[in-house]
Amino acid sequence: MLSYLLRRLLLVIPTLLGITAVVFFVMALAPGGVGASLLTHEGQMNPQQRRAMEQYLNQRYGLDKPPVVQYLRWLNKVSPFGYRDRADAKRGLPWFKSPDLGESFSRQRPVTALISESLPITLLLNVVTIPIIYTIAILTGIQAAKRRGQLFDVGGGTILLGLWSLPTILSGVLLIGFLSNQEYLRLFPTNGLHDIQADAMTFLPTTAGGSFQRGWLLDTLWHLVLPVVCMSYGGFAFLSKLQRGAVLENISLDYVRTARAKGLAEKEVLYRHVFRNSLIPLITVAANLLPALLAGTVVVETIFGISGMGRLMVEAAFVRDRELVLSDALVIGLVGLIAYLLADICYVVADPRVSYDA
Amino acid sequence: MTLDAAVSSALAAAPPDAQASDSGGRPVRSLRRQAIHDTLSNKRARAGLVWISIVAFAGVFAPFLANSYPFLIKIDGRISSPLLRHLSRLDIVLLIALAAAIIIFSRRHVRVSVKWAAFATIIAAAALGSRLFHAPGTNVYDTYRQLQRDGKIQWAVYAPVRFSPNDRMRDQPALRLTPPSRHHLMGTEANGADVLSRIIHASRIALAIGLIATSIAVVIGVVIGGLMGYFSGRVDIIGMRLIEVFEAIPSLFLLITFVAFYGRNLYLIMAIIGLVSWTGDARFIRAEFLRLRKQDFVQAAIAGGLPLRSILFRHMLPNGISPVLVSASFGVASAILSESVLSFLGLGLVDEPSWGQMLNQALNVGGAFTWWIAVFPGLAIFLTVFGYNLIGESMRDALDPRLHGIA
Amino acid sequence: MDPLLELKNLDVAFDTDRGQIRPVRDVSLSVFPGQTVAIVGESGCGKSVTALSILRLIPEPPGRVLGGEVRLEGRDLLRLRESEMRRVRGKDIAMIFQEPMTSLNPVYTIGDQIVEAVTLHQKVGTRRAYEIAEQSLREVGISDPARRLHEYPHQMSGGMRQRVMIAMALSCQPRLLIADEPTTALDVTIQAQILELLRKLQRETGMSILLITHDLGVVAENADVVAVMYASRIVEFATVEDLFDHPQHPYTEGLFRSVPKLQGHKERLDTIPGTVPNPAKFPSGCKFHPRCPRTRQIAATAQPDEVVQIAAGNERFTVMQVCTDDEPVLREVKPGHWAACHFAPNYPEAPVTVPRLEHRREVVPVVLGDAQRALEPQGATR
Repeated sequence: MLSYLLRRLLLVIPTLLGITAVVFFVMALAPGGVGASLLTHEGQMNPQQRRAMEQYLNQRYGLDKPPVVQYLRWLNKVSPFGYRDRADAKRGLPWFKSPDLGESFSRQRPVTALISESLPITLLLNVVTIPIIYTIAILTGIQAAKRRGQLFDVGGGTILLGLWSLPTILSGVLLIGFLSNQEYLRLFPTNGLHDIQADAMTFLPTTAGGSFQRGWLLDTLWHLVLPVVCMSYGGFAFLSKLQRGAVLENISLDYVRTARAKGLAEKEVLYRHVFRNSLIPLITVAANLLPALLAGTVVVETIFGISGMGRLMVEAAFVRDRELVLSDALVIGLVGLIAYLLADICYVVADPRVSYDA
Repeated sequence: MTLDAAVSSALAAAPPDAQASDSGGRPVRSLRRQAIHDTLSNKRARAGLVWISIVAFAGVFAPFLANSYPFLIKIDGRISSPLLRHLSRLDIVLLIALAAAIIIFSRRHVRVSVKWAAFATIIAAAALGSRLFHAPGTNVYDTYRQLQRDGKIQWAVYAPVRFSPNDRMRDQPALRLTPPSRHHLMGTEANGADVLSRIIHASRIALAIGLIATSIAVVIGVVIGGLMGYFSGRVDIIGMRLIEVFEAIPSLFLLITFVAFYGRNLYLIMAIIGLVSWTGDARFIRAEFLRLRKQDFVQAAIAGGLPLRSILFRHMLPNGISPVLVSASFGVASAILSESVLSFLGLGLVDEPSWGQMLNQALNVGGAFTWWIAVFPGLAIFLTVFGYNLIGESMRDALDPRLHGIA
Repeated sequence: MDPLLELKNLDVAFDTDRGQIRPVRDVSLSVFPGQTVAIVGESGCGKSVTALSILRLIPEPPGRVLGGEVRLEGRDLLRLRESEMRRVRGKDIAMIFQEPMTSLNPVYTIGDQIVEAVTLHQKVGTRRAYEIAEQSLREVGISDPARRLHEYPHQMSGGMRQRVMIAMALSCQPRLLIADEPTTALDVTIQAQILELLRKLQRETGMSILLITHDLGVVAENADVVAVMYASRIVEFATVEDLFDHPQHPYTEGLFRSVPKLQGHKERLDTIPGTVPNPAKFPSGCKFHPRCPRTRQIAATAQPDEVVQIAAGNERFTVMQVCTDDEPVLREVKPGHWAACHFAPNYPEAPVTVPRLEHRREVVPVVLGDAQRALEPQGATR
């Protein structure tokens, strides 16, 4: 198991290199080259700032060098080990250093700080959403398979395909428009994940001072409702169809007949024997689902004014903040690959036929 | 499994003539014809097809459906057609293409390759010819409204929707953000333009993005996947890594980066959507080719010394293309979604109307929620995506051999 | 003594989108305690569906029992409620299947799967259930059963898995074991071991076995009583010795002629001409008549007005009208021997009785040369 995991982890490295290389060269080969996008603000700078920036760029990228060299320099900067500049050569183990993601020009702040603020928010959204997606998908998928060919199955299948086709940009705009607008129903908040006074709230709901205080937890949950609805329906529509197919495929297999011949009730056959086997394809696609969900958060975060990774990425791309875009790609690639790994481990756990050493 | 054997043999033997055509002649062709027939006889697929036909009709005839210029007009005793005069090059090329398609593809006894060649020639000629044609540079949309108000028009025939998509009603500033009414069936947007007219004209972008982006994705996917499947081994391993890299980057992020750094150009957006969505097609083709290359007819082609191009595209591709057709149908849907999301995020085209960009307006208009700007273009996106997905799913069901047999 | 299991006129139909098919028609047979009854026939003759219908395991829909009785010690299983039926499955009647490779759930250990059956039918704790499971694994000859309990099916060979299936089936001491082609998917040497194991377990527990097979060699070595099935019907029912010595149905005769023998002439083996009819398109009258040598033989000497012409394949054969018009039923053509053929001796006067034979074979097995896989056609795809 350990060697299997190690091998998987090693395979992550070339993929990460590939991801950052693709993004880097997309930017480097853009009209005007790397510098053009970085120096767009120079008109507004005083000469001192400008010189500082040029110096920074040269030190970091070597803009006079070809793109490949530039990319390698960037890699050296962000990787936890490698060639060190003289300045910090004295400290720590040789070859090991602290990764440096650079500084965002548009925000004038270190990229690491920006990401450490945004990433937890996006992860929170996904951590809440994924269990909801899987629960609904598994339940409806099994029901549809049980009623194969009946109205519930056929009608439900069309509705699910409809949900899958329903763009988040429409559902999100409609939800926020009708459910959070003063003119219609003011049921949910429009913006962000917390109330302005959330920091002053107690964690749990209280009735202190005679009036009900919803507290930090409830406030967050309340803010989460609409974004999570928007993020989840497409996913469970897709997975529900997958689950239905998996159940149908398993239910005609020989081992199900054996289970029935043992005298198990149909329910036990379904939930003990078929269910566990039908989860295997769902675990396989979990790895593909996460990148899609991360992309989905771009839209959801934009609509609901949540400052997570998606919004950070869009805004960075808008102002061509190269440091931020590259680091975003790196982090999102990393998160996606961790998801792949987790899915792999789940797969090995769920299916004993998968060998750790193969 | 005698039970299954009994049932399936019973079913297999029922129509003896169908069996006969499967074993001799062209098995692939007859299977595909059966699949097309199954797809078209599915009610849901037909519903999708009807909607997409409506969108396609709206796209080709957009200037005749929604235009501020009258189709025919009589002023001072002279009859003229401002609408035809203001047709753009694209309008003309589209109309010629449609006419050519109808004429060429309704001929029975012409070979398919000849048909396509003729079609391509006509389109190229039309595209070149339209260069000679000059539409008036600036559009003053309110000219004819003004003339009408002044009572100078004797009679006029208008398009069903009497507003051009970019007609911002400068003569009537009060008409901004008005809810649906008799004059503006779907209301007006922040600049005063008619929402219905913009939706009709935007159907062009949606369809074009869907079809062209998917074609690019399919071509890239078929070439890469085909080479991977045919050569397998090292080519396959490198190809799989490439696919994994592209799948690990959320394609929307890549799209946003591309568009942000390369500028907003319709053709570029199409190419980029194609460039980030080929991986699924490549996987399908690879799997099919891995299977096919072991089969006798491919081995025979290799042994016969046919050139690689001929083996890949003439012998293997027609037998392995079916799953790609399914994924292409879903691909068109997701390309339309991608474009609308890009436009929604403000990275789409600026001047041309697009469904996603209209939705974005609904969000950005401060204060009151102008539902008509959101609902109608949103519905257009939804129905088109849904239509393609319905067709794709019916095609997949028709091609899935496991679904045949025991009902 | 009363039979343990008795089928009376069992009729099963499948509704398909191209019409109804009848995989089991008018099947009657009985199994006595401690007896092995073999149902033998070619693929698709309905023997597996018969077995599954006894446990009511045919999928409904499309399957449907049209009529008949399945009596277990007098109780009609077809009339039981589903919850009562579940107490019969696994406890009174256990079943093992042809494909040991796929008949076990891949994601559970074999211990879990045996224990599941044990706790379902016996009021025992988990620990005791594991002891029972271990014991039954030991009984089926699996070495180191305590360790094997924690292995997954994919870690075992086909023969081992079939032993596990048998252990699971026997863990609740059923009185009847339905073995649906238990050795077909296994190597010849493993086949012999598994059959030997079944015989040993039968001697020890006194259970009955309903053995479904297409292999006359298996029948000869294991069965007390044999039912021959053809085209959804039982066409002959007799003790194994009587059947092998005096077959009454032309189909049975044909089967024996197509079995290779070690001694004797080096001529080509006889085969039965034609193929098994498709259940969706059965011929009229006797379902065997297009392939039947006897009807042609008799037709040659019959009166002209009794004769009709029918097409079979590309040749034209002359067959008896009685064979094409009237489907024979299973009759007791001589005491203790049932057959369904118009030209079996004594057929017209023979009584229609429920086939019952409380017969146990002698310990010495019937010698039938090298009768392996007699019914399997050459180049069979299964």
